Amino acid sequence: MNRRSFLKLASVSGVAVMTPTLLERSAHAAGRYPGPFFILVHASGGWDPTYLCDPKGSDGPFPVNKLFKKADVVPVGPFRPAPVTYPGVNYKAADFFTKYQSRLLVINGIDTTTGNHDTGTRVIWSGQVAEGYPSFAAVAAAAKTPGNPLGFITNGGYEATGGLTSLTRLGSVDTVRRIAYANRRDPANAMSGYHSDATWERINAVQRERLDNMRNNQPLPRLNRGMNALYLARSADNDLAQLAAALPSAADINAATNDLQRQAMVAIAGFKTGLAVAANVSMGGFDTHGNHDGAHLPQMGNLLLGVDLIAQEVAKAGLTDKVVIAVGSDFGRTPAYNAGNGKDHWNITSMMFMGPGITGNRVVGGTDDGFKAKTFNPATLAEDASGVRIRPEHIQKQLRRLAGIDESEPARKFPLAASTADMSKLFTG
Amino acid sequence: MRVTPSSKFRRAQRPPKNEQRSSRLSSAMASATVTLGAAVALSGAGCGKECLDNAQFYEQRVFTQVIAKNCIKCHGPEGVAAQKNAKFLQLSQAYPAFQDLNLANISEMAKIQYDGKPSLLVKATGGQSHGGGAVLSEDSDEYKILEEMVNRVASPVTCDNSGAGGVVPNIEQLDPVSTLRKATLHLGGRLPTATEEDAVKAGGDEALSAALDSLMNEETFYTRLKEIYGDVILTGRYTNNSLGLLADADAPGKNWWNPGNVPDNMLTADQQTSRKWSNYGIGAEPLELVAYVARNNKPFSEILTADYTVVNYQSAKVWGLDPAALGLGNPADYYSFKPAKLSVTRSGTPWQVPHAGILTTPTFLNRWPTTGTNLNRARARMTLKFFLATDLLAVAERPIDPSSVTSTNPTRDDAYCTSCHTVLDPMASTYQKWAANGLFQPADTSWPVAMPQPGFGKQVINNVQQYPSGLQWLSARVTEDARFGVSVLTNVYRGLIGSEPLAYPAPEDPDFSSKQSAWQEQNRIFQRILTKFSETKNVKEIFKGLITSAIYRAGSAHDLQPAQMEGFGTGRLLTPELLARKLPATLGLRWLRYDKQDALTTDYNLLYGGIDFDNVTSRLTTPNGIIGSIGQRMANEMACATVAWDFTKPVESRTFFKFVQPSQAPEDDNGFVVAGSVDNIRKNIQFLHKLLLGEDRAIDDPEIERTYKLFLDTWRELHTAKSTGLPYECLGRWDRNTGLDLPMAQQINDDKYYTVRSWMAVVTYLIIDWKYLYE
Repeated sequence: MNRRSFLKLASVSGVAVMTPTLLERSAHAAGRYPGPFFILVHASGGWDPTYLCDPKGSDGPFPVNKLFKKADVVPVGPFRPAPVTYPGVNYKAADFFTKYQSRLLVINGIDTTTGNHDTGTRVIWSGQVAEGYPSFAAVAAAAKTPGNPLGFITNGGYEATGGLTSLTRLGSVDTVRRIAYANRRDPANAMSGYHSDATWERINAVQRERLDNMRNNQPLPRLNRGMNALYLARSADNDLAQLAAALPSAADINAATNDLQRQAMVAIAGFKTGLAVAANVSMGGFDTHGNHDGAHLPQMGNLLLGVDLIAQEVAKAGLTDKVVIAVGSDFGRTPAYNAGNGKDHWNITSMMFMGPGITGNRVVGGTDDGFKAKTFNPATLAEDASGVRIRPEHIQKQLRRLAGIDESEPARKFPLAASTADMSKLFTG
Repeated sequence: MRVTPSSKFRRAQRPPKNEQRSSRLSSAMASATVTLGAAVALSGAGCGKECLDNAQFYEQRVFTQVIAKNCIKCHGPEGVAAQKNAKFLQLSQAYPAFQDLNLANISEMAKIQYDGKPSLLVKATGGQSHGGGAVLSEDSDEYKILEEMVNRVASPVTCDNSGAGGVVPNIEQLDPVSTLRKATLHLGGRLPTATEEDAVKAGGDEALSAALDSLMNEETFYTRLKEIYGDVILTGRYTNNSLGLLADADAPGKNWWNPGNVPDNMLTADQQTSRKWSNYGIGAEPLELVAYVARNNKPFSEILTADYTVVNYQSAKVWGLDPAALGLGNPADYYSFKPAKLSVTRSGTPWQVPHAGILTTPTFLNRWPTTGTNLNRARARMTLKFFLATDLLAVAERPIDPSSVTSTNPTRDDAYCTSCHTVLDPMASTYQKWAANGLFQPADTSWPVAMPQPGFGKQVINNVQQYPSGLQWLSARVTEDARFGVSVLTNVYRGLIGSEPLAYPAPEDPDFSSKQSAWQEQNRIFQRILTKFSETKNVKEIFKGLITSAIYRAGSAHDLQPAQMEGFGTGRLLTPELLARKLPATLGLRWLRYDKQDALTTDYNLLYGGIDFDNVTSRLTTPNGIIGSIGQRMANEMACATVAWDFTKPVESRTFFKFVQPSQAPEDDNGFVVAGSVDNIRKNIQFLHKLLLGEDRAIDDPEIERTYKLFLDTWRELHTAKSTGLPYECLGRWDRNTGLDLPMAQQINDDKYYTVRSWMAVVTYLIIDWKYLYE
């Protein structure tokens, strides 16, 4: 389906479709979206930044971290990595910060204003507490490649699309190949069609005619939307084949040791083909209300190693200067341990970013010894008693700007709080 | 006779005027409804261009312009005023039936006087020590609206709206026979029989109702009901691995299938089967309870109030019960579940488990666990969400400012938190004797004293001895609440229609008026269904009410704004489960993978928008490129497997080809039309449109012509190429159900007339159609 017919369809469908900028339009029209791409890494359940990038130690007003003292923290440039070696993966936080120091931006002391998992996940990745707001990934996919069903690939995390675009969950690569080549009995054999190529083309052309006729005569919005959605979905046929060709082999995926890495390998194939714009990857196990140190640290190690491996996969694909990696979680965990040595929900959290357009080697924001958020001047980002707390909408607003979609129609359709102070230097420094 | 597609539709009958409002709330609303003398008030405000009766005036003026903007924040059930026992209570649109309940409440409040003036107006302007101070000024439009509402209570306004249009009369609805097909495929996983169709054709809606009653006694209906509730409570996470949830002491037969305690790789096939169905028996317990209640036409409230659980042969043994004593004689009757009461021993003391339907099943309690700080609040929130149609998160979005929270127990004391916690915490306390792992701990005294007494709304359990049976107490109150019926309706609606019911539009919505009228139509339909449900208590009334309503049957419409039509028509993408059942119903063959399981519910489940009840818990309702392609692959594989095979059968046994033989080509070798063959081909295409898409089309209908042209063009392509080979996978060589070779004489191993693949193209074309993939 060409762009013109797509927009015509969109005008009568319930699928919100936006007009991309001139640059984006030419890129999309050429068949390959050139980037930037986005990988959003979600630590599901509420992670503990004090065991990652905002350590406090056991010797503050009360023991925030039982495993080390404040003086044990050894800075890496501007970063203060938690002085821990994560068990299970034998990975040191300091090694990660050293390796990615020049590219990494850490934002500490983000106030999510919630201790509810659903709300926290939503506000971190959409910038709004209110239900129904789309994930940044959905806004980016809709703005960059309108109508592209493969723009937003997800493996969990915050998946709301706000009706801007569809999302695609990818599973086994063998299965993807089977469905990418729907007319082949053997996906690897181009000569194994159920129907001849001409017949297959004819079947689909006649189907399109019929569907066109039906939807043009169907006034009920719900039915009409369904017809339009199927029409749009089928426009992705060739895209799927391209994606299938770029997918790593099942053996390669199985050889990957980290679940985040496995998820990212599929997403990166989507980026390489210029089909996917953004991808959610996620890992659970952070909701450690009991035995916090024993259960949380191995997961934090898996997460950090996973981000490291994702960055390596991105580099291997030659996309380092095109992929933004964002890491976040529902919220943080309480400063103090509960009676079961667990930590409960706390509204203060951190996020990490690296990729094109992001000035690294920086920490923005911060918390006090009791892990409460400090306030900052929105313009200078300097600590300021009369400033504001950094909130997810500040970050999402700048992320949209970084992506060049802040003025796009999808972004306008879901504006972030108008009163939000503009932290324009958040990513650029 | 030419039968046009539109003949399937008919104009809706507007419901009798006296049925347009809820009788459920009739007593509460009595003060707000008709008195003939009130006709004099027709000249009052609100009846200039358009007459608004009291209910309409409340909905269109009072709620949208006054209550929603000024009152509801404090006077909602979680608001500050409500917590101080204010009698003026108004619900937001997050509450079911909120408009009716609000009107009833404001009508009562309007009667209260203070110093000779209506208290409602006095308080709104800050008098009578109104906690919220002056909210309205006397010269504001909002005050005038409220004042008129007060006056209308004293002198109710009624309008003769009998000639008014409304939405439903402009909706074209499926006729009874088409409705029967749609419902039978959905609830029965089959097509209606000719006898059923004839009866409904002759008997109309009455016969349709009877046919639905019969359909809802079939096993597939209960399967669908379990799927619908499975999507709600998400206990499917444990369907295949539930035994690990049980404590050895409570389930003495937990490993009955492995008395020798042999390793997994040494289990016999029988042992593996017994383990599998033991897991199923425990894991599916809440959903099988739902099915049991429906199957036995019990009050649907028993899904929560049942003082028993249900077991199959295998799970009876897990609990240490004698299956035979429970009437479970056949171990292979895996889906046969019977009621049972369990007991446990704690510190040497035997306790009868205080069953409270779904709420006390191990899988529900483990799926929604408690934690040291969550303190059963998640369980309480899910109870509200699943069984009271109330999403507390939507009722009160809660941005909190932790720096402002000073109390040592903010969820009890701080206004930022109490709005939800006053609702949640007493309910959470009713779960206090059920541990995180689902174990019943009647003697446990670790429940924090800071938590409130067990309760629900304004009721509490005062007797500590009753705490162990707190969930039975809660279930009784939940199921007595009007919202329980709404929750059943909402859950069934999602399952049948595939989307959420219309929400009440936001007052600032530019399409408010159109959306509101659609919502009102939906509300009228809902109230009729709920009234019936309140009489019979049978969940089947909800299904029948929805299926026979314009919501389900709408197929087209005229002279309406899009927003007015929004809630009508069922155009849902079939779930993997529904589509997996539709295939054998219409094609006579399942789409299986290597291990004989349905491909759609296994390999393709998540990709086709299904859920795993764990990480992926919401179904995709809009197709994406992957879903579109899966549909295409399915169609190709199924056409390949069925077409040649169908031609190997005698005509009377065929599924597809009742009117044509493979030797019947549309043209001869010289390109001349073979008239008799063409007639038969067209007739068969007409039959396939009916079989696969439910379309009654005339033989000269453009759609029949379109399909015929596809057949013809494909045939010509093959004929020109002299291509007679059939792909091996598509040969008519095997009985596709048994996998056995057919007799040689019966086999079709080539396509010498070029028709087999031409028909494959037609069947593929019809299976990937919107009308096949959607319902």
